[in-house]
Amino acid sequence: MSDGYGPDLRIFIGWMFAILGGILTAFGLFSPGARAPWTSSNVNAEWGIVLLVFAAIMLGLGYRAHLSSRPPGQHPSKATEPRA
Amino acid sequence: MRLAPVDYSIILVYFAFVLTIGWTLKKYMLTSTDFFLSGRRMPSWITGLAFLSANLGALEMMGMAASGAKYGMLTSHFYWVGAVPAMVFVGVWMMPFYYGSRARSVPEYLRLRFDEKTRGLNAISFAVMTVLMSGINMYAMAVVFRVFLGWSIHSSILVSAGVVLAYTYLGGLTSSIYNEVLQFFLIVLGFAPLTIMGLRHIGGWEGLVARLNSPGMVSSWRVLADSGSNSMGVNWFAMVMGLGFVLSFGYWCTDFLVVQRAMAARDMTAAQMTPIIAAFPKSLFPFLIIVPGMIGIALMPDIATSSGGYNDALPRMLQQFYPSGLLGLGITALLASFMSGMAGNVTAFNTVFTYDIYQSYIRPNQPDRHYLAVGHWVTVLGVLISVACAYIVLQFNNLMDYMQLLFSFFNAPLFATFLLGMFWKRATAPGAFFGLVAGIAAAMTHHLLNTYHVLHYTSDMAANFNGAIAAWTTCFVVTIVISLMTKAPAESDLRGLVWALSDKPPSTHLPLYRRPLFWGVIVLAFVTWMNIKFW
Repeated sequence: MSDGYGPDLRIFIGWMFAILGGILTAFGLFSPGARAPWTSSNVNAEWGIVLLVFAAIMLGLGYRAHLSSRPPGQHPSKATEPRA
Repeated sequence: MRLAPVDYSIILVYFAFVLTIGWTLKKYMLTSTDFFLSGRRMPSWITGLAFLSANLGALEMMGMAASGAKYGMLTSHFYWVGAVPAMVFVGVWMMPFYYGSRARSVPEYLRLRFDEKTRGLNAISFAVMTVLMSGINMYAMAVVFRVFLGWSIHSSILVSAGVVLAYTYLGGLTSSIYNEVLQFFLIVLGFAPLTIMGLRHIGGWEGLVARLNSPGMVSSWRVLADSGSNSMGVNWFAMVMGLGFVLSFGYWCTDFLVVQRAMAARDMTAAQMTPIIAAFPKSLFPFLIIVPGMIGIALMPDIATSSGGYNDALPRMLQQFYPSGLLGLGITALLASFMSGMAGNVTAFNTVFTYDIYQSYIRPNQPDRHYLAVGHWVTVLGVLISVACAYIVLQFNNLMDYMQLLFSFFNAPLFATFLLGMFWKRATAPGAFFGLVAGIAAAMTHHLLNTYHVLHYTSDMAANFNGAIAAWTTCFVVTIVISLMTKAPAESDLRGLVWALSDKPPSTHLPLYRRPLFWGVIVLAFVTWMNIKFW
């Protein structure tokens, strides 16, 4: 396990932002007209996608470390291409 | 501002994750070291982000945005001068003693290096201050939520205190640290759109400069030539010595709230890297926090005269730029900053109380599981005192200022004690204790002289910075004089506690890119460049 205790923290972070990103993106798609006084675009959908990309990176890093630490040995110390 | 169901669902998802983390970690809390120090097995990226997040309370977020609205880029000094250099210093030069001595807390280091008196003074003042501060934060946050969201003060206080209590009680420091990392990302991803949309709306940095139409707002050093030429009323000497040296090093290098995160790291290199990793995002925070404040005042000049004053800058920006949905994320980020600040206070309080007060003075020599149980109960006690303090401040509003003032008296001289303790082997226990007492007395005296107009400063901030310089200098000089008058400590007692008598952390075997000093130099170069860019 690459972290001190229990499940990899990146997996927690990844899932939380996946859900938050999902909520924002969905809300942006279903209520595309939601605007604050000074917003000019569908920021919910736009930022929701940013959160989903971040979540994918975190989950990729977390599960990658998780899988490679299965056989007893070193966890990878270098981060490479994020994959969901 | 009205929150829609989608906003509440975002807040609920966040609460659910926070509690899940606490619950998942519960089964790993087997010894007091697990509970108070995370078993010393955290990787540095986690302790580093937690180090930053524990300091990032809601008062800090609101206050720095307000300061950005009021003073503009001058506020960057609280980051590029008043934080990053001290963070690099504590990582490279002080962590070897904190971590290497195996002390479990900052007060415990003082006992190892000096004696019981100095530890007692530091432990008690720290414990009291920390838990009261957390109450003040809670109060301040509840007021914001009442004003902008119409939430009742009682439910804000009780719900957030309840959630913080649940996860720190279950998972101890680990839970606090894991949540702080979660909160760090939430704060960054929750507030970044504000800067992006704000700058786009106002026409980029040039647009902001043109709209502010005040050169003093966009420069950080040019206006510091003398105290009369800038809105803070501070000159460069008070800024560099008072904020950049005394207050900054006093906080980042000796406050157990932050140092505790580094002590939880899994090895010496990770402990040293903790504050340095934190320094990278810290050096970018002016763009996340100060710039929205500046955009706020540029677009809404009436903030200056509104009921909440400059403190309204951040909430009003959220109101103008965040539609339902994103607003939920922004409010969750504010809640997260508030909870991470409070959990940091609570975990630091319970460690110092259990190890440095209870185990030292009340019931020593008990089995470890006794202290683990006490730690759980002290967590409850800490949260209850914080809540009580929040309600007291609610009744007597101006108490808040007095308390903050009192705390500053205790903090300002402390770094002199540590500096001499760690780097001068001749410093003695009586020297440290009386130096610290003299420093605290000097801070109080300076305050009285200022209150009764014997001293004249152009602003409260100038008085604050100069008071800190006076307290630090007094502590430094008195410690040296009394140390020289008393018997030198035996060198055999100082192994691992003083620079000259310690094995330096072995970093030469590490490749360059893994050495703490290498990254320290890079982040210092970056903030130097920023200071020049916004000269």
